[in-house]
Amino acid sequence: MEPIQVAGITFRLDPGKPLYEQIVDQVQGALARGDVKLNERLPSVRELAQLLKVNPNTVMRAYQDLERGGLLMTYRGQGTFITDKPQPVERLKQDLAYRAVAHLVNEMRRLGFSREQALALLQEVKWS
Amino acid sequence: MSSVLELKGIEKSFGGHPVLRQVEFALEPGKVVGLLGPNGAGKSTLLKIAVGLLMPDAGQVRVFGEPPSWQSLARIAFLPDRGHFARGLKVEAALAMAARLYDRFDRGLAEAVLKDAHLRPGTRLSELSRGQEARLHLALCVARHPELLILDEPLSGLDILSREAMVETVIGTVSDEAPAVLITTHDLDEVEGHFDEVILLQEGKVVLKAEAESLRVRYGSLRQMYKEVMQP
Repeated sequence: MEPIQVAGITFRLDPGKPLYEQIVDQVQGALARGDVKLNERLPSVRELAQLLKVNPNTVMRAYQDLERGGLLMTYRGQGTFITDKPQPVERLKQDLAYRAVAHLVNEMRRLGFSREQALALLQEVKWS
Repeated sequence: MSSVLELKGIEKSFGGHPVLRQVEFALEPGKVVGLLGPNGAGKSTLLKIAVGLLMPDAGQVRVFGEPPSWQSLARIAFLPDRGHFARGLKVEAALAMAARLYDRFDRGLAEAVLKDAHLRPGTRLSELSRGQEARLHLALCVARHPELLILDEPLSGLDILSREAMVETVIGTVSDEAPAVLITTHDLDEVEGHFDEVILLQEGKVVLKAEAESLRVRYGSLRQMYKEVMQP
């Protein structure tokens, strides 16, 4: 599917994965990178469903999930906004970083690398 | 949660030829469900039975917990695969007729949908393009604020812009009012992101019923799922 830009977030949905998880992941990614600002207004459930061509129930579920994580706030009659507090975003960045590192560690162990070898590789590898 | 629509052991034959065999499923409130299957699988027959336009030979239909009746029909909007309106009628007359027929008919909402479709009240139905006609029928359906919206091949034969507009109207209705929606379609590309659940009908039997998200994981996409399950 073509990427769709909304409020600083780039959505690129793959029809072969749960759409709800992808929406959550992509909003989280944009928040972690700082592509979307604190207190930024997000499209309504209806608008986002129409833009992404997905079921409003899917968007609603994704928004609720993000709200539970403290990343979004919905005000009746005003709409849905990115949180205005930096703490939940910091927590999210930590979480995502831990998850990425855990994934890397697992993969390196599976391939038979020691911690020292993995660290040495990390030192060597080009970051950009 | 009580079901909006519940079918049990539905059997139907036409001229000794079985069309539906032991069909069972339930539709929950607020869910968008795709009823998929090849031509002749029995989809349209099943929809007609669901809304009470056809009687099954055996089995039980419950709409909002009751057998289909005129009371339940008032809460259902059905878009058949072919609309039937007098060709000489004008758009505004169709609206007036709907407003007289249906208590809950929301003329303002119907007019808003028609305005988006650039459909003028004074146009005769015989002058409408196929896409405009489809959108008129859909407008008449959603303006009734149905609790159950049944769409039989809503996109077939429409150009891409009309298809997108139809889908947008349905998304708008689902967002605002959360009716249960049952859709039959062959146009999987446009709508596969919209289903909460999918029911596959093959030769009159339900061969698969599952949540769309789990099918995406298992098959890669609903389109792929359809191909694999329908392989002889």
